Amino acid sequence: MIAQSFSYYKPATFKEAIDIFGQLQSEGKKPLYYAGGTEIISMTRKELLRPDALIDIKEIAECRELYEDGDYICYGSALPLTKVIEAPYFPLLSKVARTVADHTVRNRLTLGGNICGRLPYREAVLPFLLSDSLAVIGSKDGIRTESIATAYDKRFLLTEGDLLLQLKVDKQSAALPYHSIRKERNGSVDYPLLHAAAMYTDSGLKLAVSGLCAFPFRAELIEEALKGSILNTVQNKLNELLPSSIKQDHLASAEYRGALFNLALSELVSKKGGTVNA
Amino acid sequence: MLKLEDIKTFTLNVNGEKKSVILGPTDVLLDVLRDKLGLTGGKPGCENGDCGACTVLLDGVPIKSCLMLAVEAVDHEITTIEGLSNTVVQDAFVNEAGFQCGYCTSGFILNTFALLKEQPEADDAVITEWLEANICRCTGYDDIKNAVKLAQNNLR
Repeated sequence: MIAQSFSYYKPATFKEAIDIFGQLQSEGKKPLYYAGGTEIISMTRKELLRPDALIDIKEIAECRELYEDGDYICYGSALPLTKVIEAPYFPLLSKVARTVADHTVRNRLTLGGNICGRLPYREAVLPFLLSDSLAVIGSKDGIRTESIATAYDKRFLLTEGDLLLQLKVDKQSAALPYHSIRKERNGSVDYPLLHAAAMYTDSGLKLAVSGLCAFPFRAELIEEALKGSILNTVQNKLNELLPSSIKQDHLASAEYRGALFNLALSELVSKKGGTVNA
Repeated sequence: MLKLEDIKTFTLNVNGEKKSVILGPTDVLLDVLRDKLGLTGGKPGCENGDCGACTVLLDGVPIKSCLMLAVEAVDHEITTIEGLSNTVVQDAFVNEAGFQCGYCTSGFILNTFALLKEQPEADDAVITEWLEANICRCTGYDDIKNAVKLAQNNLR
């Protein structure tokens, strides 16, 4: 039972969604965009969230699209992770998304919900951070497309009321060799202590990480350092190369997470150029 | 645009029957099935999406009904454990004693039913991946897995 009240809206177009969001805000209410509901319902039930209205985006055509076209693969933000995993276009995304929650939850949990959610892991963003993807965002001014490099910093930088409609990935990036490592404390259906994903290009290794800090990030300083230093040197100055301090919580100490990351980094570097779509 | 700001009467398609039910925007599917339609086979366990005791099928796909608003189920086909009768999967759970206290059993059976319909030749890795969505606090996992394998063989 949910012991608080909210209204429910199911717009048919992104413009309707943006308009009703703005209207509710102007009435002093707190609306939330809603897709799979796995996080919003559980957090609202625990009264960790107190929305006045949920705006269900699952009927919006752009949010449900999944196709390859020209140079890009397009993923709608309201696609359940199961559909994302089954799509044959981006093997690293399939592998990473498969580790989120459990199979039944993934039948509801959406790509946009995972990436824009409140939990600190948001693992499905890792392949998009590595592939220099594009974010298609709906706003009251229409639809705009931004590079993930500008649209993401610790989380998606959406103005309140903006809606992530789609993520687009360059096909050549999606086909790059990759490797990923996920470590949990309590078995595979658990939040990650560490999830590190890498893609390999001619110019070096690209690295994105979840679980290590309070947010998922593209580890560009480590990528650069690996080009000019031996691995051991990079590992010894890890704290200088991370975007924030290493997380410490009831699951693991910062020291333990750091050690896991250094082991993962060794494995990822050793795979450099060797593993294709493994 | 569908708006639900107060209570309203909807029709839910449950186990092949149309059921008229009054829904509010905050009503969770699990609670509506149990409290308004009397279908108590789906169980409230963790109510956090972890345990799978509340599993039902939505258009044949297993979902956790504690994590879904009832209004979202309008225009979809809902199958609860009461909608299955004398299936090969249920027989296999009986024959392999794939339950102990039984609280988790409806979730396991519905998940298995969907799995074997979608992937009749599912291998061990796939079966494990699907069953990880359900928790048996009695830890009867070996017998449950045996029941799934028996059902799979009997369906061939």
